[in-house]
Amino acid sequence: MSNGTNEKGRSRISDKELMELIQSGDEKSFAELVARYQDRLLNFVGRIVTDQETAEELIQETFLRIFNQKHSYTPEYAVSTWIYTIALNLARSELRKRKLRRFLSLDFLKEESDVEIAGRTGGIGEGLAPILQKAIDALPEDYRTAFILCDIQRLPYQQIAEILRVPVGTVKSRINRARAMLRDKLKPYKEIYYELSRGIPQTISLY
Amino acid sequence: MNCRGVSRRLSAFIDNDLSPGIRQAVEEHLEHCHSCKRRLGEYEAIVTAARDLPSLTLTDGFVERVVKAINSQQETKEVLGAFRYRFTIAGAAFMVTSAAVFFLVGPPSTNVTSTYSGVQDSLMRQSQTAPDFWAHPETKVSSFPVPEGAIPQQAVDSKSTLRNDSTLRIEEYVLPDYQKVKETVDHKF
Ligand SMILES: [Zn+2]
Repeated sequence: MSNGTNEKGRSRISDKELMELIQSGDEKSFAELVARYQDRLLNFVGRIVTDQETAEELIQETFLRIFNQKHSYTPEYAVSTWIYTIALNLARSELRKRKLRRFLSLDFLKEESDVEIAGRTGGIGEGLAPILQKAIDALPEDYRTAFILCDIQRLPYQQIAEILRVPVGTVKSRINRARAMLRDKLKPYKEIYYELSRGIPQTISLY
Repeated sequence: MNCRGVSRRLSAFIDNDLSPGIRQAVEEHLEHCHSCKRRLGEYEAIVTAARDLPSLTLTDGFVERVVKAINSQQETKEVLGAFRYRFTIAGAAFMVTSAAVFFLVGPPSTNVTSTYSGVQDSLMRQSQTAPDFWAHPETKVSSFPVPEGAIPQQAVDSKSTLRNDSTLRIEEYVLPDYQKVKETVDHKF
């Protein structure tokens, strides 16, 4: 495909074709890629680092790396797998830095503070959403990432395995564990989600 | 299948990831076991709520910030490129002159390979004895045989260090350093 692809054509082509155009130096295709992935990445990275500002910085860095390392992409993997992997590496190194900072500042001796994240309004889960979000934030990183990729990003097991570079069986057991942990964490709010699960609109607000 | 067996398969059950036989066994158990059925309801509620979590939204101007970051990164690359180019010219000029010194003076009888100060000495001697060459250094370049060891090791080292350093900066997060690098370059040249 040539660089002369028009706007309409560009928005219709597959991720792989888009990547080919980017590799051939087409800047508009790169903008299209940013448009395709920015929200997905925010909802992935944002839920790992649990802080919007850091998440946006990391996503910007993710796109810079995609641009700089565009030639390292090979079509044997889905473009999304490659992008998620880059974003995940950055998010994980951010978590490691934080851990170290917390350790050095002796903050780990204090109670973990509640981290709020923007954009948690509306939708059916108004009552459950903030509680669920906090419960997700509190999961160990491996389980949290698997859960986010499966139940929030809605990716298939196989792709999650490729992103996390673990066997599919490991992915399944992490997701199973994550859901079980969430169920335990949400036990005090059982009535709410039980009603939710039966499709009864609930009106209780916990805040 | 007992409650334990069902309970550890509920996650796979929700994802439709059980073989038909096992799936049927789970379904049969669920028909008469209230406790497992409730547990399934809780799992389903979590999965549904996770899917329906309100989306996070980017603050305004995100795309512009990405584009800007890439553009200033490109500029930095150009500055660094120019910096390297100039350094290469400077390095080449230095090598040519030191080589010329050996051509005009002949290699010193002592060990040449590692003595930067030896080269410097020769340069100083040469600058006094051969002013013509300094006025037109380019005249002796093309067919000039470079004696072995004429290029001071130190000069080669410092050059390669700089090159590695620049490359590293481009690949790492260049943006915050851009202004600094530019100032350094402007200052030096
Ligand atoms: Zn049971």
